[in-house]
Amino acid sequence: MQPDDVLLQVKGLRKHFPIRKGLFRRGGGTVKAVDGVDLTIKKGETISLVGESGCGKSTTGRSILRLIEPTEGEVLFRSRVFNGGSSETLVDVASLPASKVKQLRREMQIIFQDPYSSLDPRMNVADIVAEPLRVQGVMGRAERRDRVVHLLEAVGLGGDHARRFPHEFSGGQRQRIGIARALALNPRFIVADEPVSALDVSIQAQVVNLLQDLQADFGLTYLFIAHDLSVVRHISNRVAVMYLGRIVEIGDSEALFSRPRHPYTEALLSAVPVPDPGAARTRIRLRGDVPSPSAPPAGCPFHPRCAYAIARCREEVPVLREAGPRQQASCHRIEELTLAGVDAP
Amino acid sequence: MSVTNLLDIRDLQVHFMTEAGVARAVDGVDLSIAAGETLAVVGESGCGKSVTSRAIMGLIQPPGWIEGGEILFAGRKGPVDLSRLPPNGRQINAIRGTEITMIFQEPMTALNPVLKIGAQIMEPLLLHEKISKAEAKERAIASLAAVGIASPRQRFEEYPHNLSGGMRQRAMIAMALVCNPSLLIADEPTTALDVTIQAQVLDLMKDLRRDFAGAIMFITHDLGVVAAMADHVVVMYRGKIVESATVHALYRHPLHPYTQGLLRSVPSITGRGAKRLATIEGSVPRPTERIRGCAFAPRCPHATPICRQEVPALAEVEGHHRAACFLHHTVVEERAHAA
Repeated sequence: MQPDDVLLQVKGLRKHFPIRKGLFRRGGGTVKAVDGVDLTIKKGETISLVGESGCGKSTTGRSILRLIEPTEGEVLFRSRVFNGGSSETLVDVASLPASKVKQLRREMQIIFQDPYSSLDPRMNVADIVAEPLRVQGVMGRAERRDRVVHLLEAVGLGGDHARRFPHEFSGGQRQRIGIARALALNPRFIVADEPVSALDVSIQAQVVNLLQDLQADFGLTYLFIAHDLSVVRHISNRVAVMYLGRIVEIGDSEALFSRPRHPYTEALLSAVPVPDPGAARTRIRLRGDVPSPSAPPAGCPFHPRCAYAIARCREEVPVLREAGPRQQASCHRIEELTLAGVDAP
Repeated sequence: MSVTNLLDIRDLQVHFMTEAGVARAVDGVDLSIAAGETLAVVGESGCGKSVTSRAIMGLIQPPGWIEGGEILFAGRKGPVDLSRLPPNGRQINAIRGTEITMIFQEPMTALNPVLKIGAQIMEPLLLHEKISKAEAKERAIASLAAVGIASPRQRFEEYPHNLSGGMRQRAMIAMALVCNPSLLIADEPTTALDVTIQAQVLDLMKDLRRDFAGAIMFITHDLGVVAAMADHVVVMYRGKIVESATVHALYRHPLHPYTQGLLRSVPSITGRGAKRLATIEGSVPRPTERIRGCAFAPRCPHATPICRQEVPALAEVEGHHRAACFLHHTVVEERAHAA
């Protein structure tokens, strides 16, 4: 990792889950949930991971934070906590001892999808938001109280909410509480795992705006995990599309949405229902379902569902390679295919 | 009862007893569905859209009850008021599952995990139609084939867990359609599905509309899905219908500030939107909270003093386009004066 503007670099990340079968829980193979992901995240950007259930996007996000132990690979992060906060040191999150991972939590945080299950119902809001501060032991009691009020105001709640309990809040307000908790330690990097998927449309817009405001105010870098491509386009600088544990396409948001280079991206984009009854769009009907990640197809993992597959796709695994300016895709036929994006011609 | 409509709901009120008091989940809903029409009911969580559909199915159970109103259904044995039928009585049981069927968001909640797919699809046929088991099996297999399930004979013998999410949703649709219902209620049928599978299921439902003569009541919060599926749309807020229009009129020219806000707050995938998303301020009030006047007034950017005093009626503003908003009542009144 050379350039200074890179915050985090993921190299060859893999997470394999063993399938345990039978009395002695042996054999049964492995699910390759994440199967060789490379990703570079720049300071201050929002990069989105998109894909369908089981593609490995959440596992990737959690492996980067060491919320689950990666099987293989490096997660290089420019950390400040180990040098007294002044200068940056490069650490490999994936191989750091557990005690140091705890320190790293000051810089790397997560926002969860479900605002109903991610807050302890028996803790009041002040305790929930102050918990990271207490665990890390970075502030005294009085200081923590002030910090909580400040954080609640930053996410659009009032300091008077501090003594209330999660059940007294709506879904959107609970998500704001979760965001305040993630911000408590003043992190630099936040994994937002489907942060607006469980929210109603009108509330979703409020939370998306809030995330963007906070990014500007606190200089945050986001890894945004989502399946709603309209929200992704709105919020992201760059987008990575995952399929069966691998990134099949990555590029600047504008380029990827207007000119996708991987047939799976094209199909995903065409499947999004547009809120316009007059919209004339051709939809690419994908055949069948996503194959099981425990038995991915030979060759290109997407070939059984791909409308453009040729003999080579059944045999040879394509690698991620240059497909356009700042755009990469793993497809044998990048040069020959002209795929449709979502912008009307 | 009008002859043209399959279903006429008039001033329906469904209440629930909660710890915080009575929640008026459905608070005076009027809506009609014509035979063969697809009506979308749109709204956010707690607006009463699902409770309305459950009232039609006769599925309101304590702590909920139907407080008032009528649900007139043109049944095969003559018109009937579904709101008056005893739950689990002979009459509602004869209609539910045959004339009115329902598909749900999560197919695993509707499919029995220990029964074979085939047995579950045959069940309504064997219960309601006087046919042999062999005939029922053939009808069930034909139904599986009609929803695009490959090798239906083999699937007939399998259990729900053998099927993928999209396949289960297809199986549930097959089960709902096997008795040729005159009304199919689809409650968020694609919300739990991935976008490419959602597209497959929506395509399937569109194809089925061509062959299936019945009406569809499509309940969803997804404005993209509505645009793809519906002929007519009603928008619900806090137990009431705030706007009712054809799908084209609603998207081209939304009248109610809530509908306008909803449509504006969806980011555009074509990237033509603003840098900042438009929002609707505040959040939906709690169902037990009493609000004087229009329930949307506290969040409405156009609210005037009258909005906080009186409840606006759902009134026709232009042909077949109705809105419950005082902003448009002046238009209605002016026209009445001119006439």
